Amino acid sequence: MKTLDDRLAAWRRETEGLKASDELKARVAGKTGASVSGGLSLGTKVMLVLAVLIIGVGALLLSRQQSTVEPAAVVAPSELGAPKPLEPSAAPALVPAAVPSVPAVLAPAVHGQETPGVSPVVPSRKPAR
Amino acid sequence: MESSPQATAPPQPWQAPAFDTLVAQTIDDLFRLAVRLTGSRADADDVVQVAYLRAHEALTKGTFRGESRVETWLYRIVTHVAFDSRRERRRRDGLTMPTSGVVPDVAEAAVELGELREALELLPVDQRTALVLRELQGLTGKQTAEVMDRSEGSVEQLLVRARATLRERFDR
Repeated sequence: MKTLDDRLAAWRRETEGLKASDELKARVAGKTGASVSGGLSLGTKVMLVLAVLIIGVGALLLSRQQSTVEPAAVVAPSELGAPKPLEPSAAPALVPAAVPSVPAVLAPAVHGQETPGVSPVVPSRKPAR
Repeated sequence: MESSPQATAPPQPWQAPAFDTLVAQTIDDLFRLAVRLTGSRADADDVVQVAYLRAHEALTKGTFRGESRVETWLYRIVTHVAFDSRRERRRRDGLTMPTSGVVPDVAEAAVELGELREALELLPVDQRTALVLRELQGLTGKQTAEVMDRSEGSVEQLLVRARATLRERFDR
């Protein structure tokens, strides 16, 4: 026959390893908004987001690099029968050979003289309509 | 007389812990306490759930201001809810001793444990609470007194009476 202390010790041991069930944790979390188990910590979430961003940016850069390099390396324009680039002498001038001189009436001071009886025309800042 | 910096510093306001952290840290311990008080896992589940709801409400409303340790406060809530539940169950069942099958999944085979649970059920609420907190949860006399909101001497008296009643039954 066990004594009271034996029975109390046995009851303590019997209940020592008890843990709240996942169902109870879920119920408490549902009622109070607390995430008891199964959730990721904030640090883990941040690390995951960073990892996804790094992988995404890396993949984007790689794809852009491949799209700019590959066409030039595979097909040269001359092989497609395209006309060869013009020689520099034959190329049309993109820049006028001479810059038009400033009209005398607009800049009399440049020429150092004025036409008698003719007042200099001051260009209007308003655009002509 | 100059006062020390510690004496002049304003008291720091109590900062409530994050509730999910609090639950994660205490739920297993509170569940064991609830099982030991109610003698039933199913009842303990309900007790723990209601206890956390009350705690959450109190923390949200700011009615708990950290006068005692949070763990002590949670123990107090669980003991109150457990005995509200026990009283309700007795009233509903109309029985004084609903022990058979109360703990179907904890030490079902141990006859001695079944007898102990029956005997604990028969104890007055305060004696049973004192015994569970001291002998099963391992709290000190001071901690038990804080949870039960009694003096240490009063708790010791409850323990003496509880032990005397149980020894009458088991140690004769």
